[in-house]
Amino acid sequence: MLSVYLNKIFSLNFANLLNAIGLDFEILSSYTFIVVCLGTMILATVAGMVGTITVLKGQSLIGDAIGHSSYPGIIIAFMIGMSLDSVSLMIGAIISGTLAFIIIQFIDKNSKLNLDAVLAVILSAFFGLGMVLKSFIQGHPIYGKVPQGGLSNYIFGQAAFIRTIDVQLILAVAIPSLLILFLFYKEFKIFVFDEVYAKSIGLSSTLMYVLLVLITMSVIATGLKLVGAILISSFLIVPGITALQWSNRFSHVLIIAAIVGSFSAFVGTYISSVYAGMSTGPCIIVVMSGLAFISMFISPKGLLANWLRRRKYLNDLSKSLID
Amino acid sequence: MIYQNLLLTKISDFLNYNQQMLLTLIVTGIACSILGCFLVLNKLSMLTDALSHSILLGIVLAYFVTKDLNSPLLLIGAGIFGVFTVYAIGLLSKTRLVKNDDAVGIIFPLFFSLAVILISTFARNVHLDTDIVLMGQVIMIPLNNMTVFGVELPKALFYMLIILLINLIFVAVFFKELKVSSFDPEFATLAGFSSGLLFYGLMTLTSFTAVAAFDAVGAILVIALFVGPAASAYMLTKSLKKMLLVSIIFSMLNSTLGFYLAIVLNVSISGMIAVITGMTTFMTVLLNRQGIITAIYLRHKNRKEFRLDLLIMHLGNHEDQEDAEFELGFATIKDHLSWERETTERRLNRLIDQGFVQRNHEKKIFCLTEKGRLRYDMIKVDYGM
Repeated sequence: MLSVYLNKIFSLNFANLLNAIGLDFEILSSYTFIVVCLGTMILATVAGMVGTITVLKGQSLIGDAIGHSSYPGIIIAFMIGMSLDSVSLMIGAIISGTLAFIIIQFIDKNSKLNLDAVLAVILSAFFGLGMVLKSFIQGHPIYGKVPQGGLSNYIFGQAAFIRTIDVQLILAVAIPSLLILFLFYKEFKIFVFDEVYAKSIGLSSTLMYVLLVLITMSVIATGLKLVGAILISSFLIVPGITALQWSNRFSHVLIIAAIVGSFSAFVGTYISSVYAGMSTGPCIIVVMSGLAFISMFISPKGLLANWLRRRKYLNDLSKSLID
Repeated sequence: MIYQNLLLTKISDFLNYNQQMLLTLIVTGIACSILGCFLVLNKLSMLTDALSHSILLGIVLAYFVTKDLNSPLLLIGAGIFGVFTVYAIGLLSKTRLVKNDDAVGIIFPLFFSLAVILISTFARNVHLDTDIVLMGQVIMIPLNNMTVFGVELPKALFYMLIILLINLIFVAVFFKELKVSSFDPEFATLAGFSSGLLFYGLMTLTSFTAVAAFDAVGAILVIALFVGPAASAYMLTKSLKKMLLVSIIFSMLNSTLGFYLAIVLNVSISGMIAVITGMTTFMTVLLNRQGIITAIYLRHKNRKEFRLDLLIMHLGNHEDQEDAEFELGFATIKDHLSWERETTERRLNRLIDQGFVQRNHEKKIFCLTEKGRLRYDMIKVDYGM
């Protein structure tokens, strides 16, 4: 239905135009591409915005640990429900990711270990548990009968296989997450830049952390099917890092991160559709990281600007010395 | 041919398949944990995560050059690529455009993605399975044998033994330097040796260890082997030598326990060892000297001891006084301490068992023994009275 409608609009003028700039109209108007592209773009937009807060808080590796840690939850949800239903697997992922987050916070508070050591241990222990459970159900007389091929998609992601229901699921998570972000925009801003001040004006940092973890966790859980447990952390942090190269204003950074995220998702999905065999998630990440590196180079705060500034300064200095 | 067979010593004559696997795992664990100690001390634990993922790209690139999945050059290429990863992360965070954590978080997913894309587009027909990269194939260890100096042993075991030897030599030779630069990098620079050079030395070995280990046990377990035992040892010890020793013990314990559990339950060996490593680390968090359970236990114990001290003080203070009959009387002592009858009797009985208190049946009071009097004097000193 949707594709027919879009076909009608596009086929009039845009088809030739698109072909002229090198984009394949056939692919762009195909139903699969539209579904996959919508899914990845919405996900990347929300993940980019939510992840920016994590980056600003200096906790960018937590997303990586939680991404890995959600894997056993997926297998357990499969074992309980005996099906590959997206919603129940997502709930499993949220529960095990949250559990990992709580354990990480607990160890961080109650031991002299550094956060990164805690992250490394929890990440490998949880993912290891996922591996144990996966190998357990593989040859099992009861679980072995249910088809479980889809489970390994959650490690590396299989965006090409997502269906309309998955896009609806992403929307169902994206809209509330963005709403929370907008409703608590001021609170998040204060919380990010001055936690002590936030506390002094009576803003509960526990509440903010709970909100942040809640939306991060649900974004990670919905993203697993598209990009997988290993690479989901990039969706969270890379757009934020890119945006921080261009602006220092919180609102601008959020908007740039959203744009970078959705643009990379579009380009990445397109590339993976044109060239057979390329997985969508990794393609998007390569585009995203490329944008990040370009930004680091050419942005107003970037390497090139710094180099020019230094050169100009030296020139001026040598001139004034000669004069 | 017959002579050759006579000269050949096969490891399978001494150890069965399970024992060969376990031996390889233990050697791998020790090789990882002695470097892991320095990684944990230098707050570099998440670099192992970055390394173990980006090595895959190194292997793929090296494969394009060698076109042979069994070539040892593959491992060398991957090792060099690992060092390059660390260098790239360092370079990126040195620009100050991003924080160090962000640099780690941006580099390794990129490398991993590139590897996945390259495998799926150019190396489809090659047996380079991304699942195996993460999970490892411990079960295959005894099936890949090689012959060295007339001894036939698993390839993975031989590689890991060499790596272990190199790591041991490195740590032994540079022990002082590593120690100083781990605890006081500024002093290390002042003292005249480059902690940067030492850092890259450490990272080179870490990278090659990770590559060799990852070939046998998979990327995820490599992280656990590096960080888990070292983190546990860090909480329990106060000297570097002890930390190294304790981490080796933890590592052996984790590998053995995880291996046999996995064999009994017929599940993934790598996964099980990673789980056990996580559990022992968590137990150490709870039970070490500053741990939360230890703290609760100590508080409880202290409160108990304080009550007994209080009782001795009461006895000591009133023993020679005229009101001893009322204060210390068999039936009345509880009123003066305002405790329940049962609790008072229980605590008094405990002190009687320990030999601090005795019953004076003539006066019908409790009084201190010789030992109890000494304890009374000590308590007075302890509390500054």
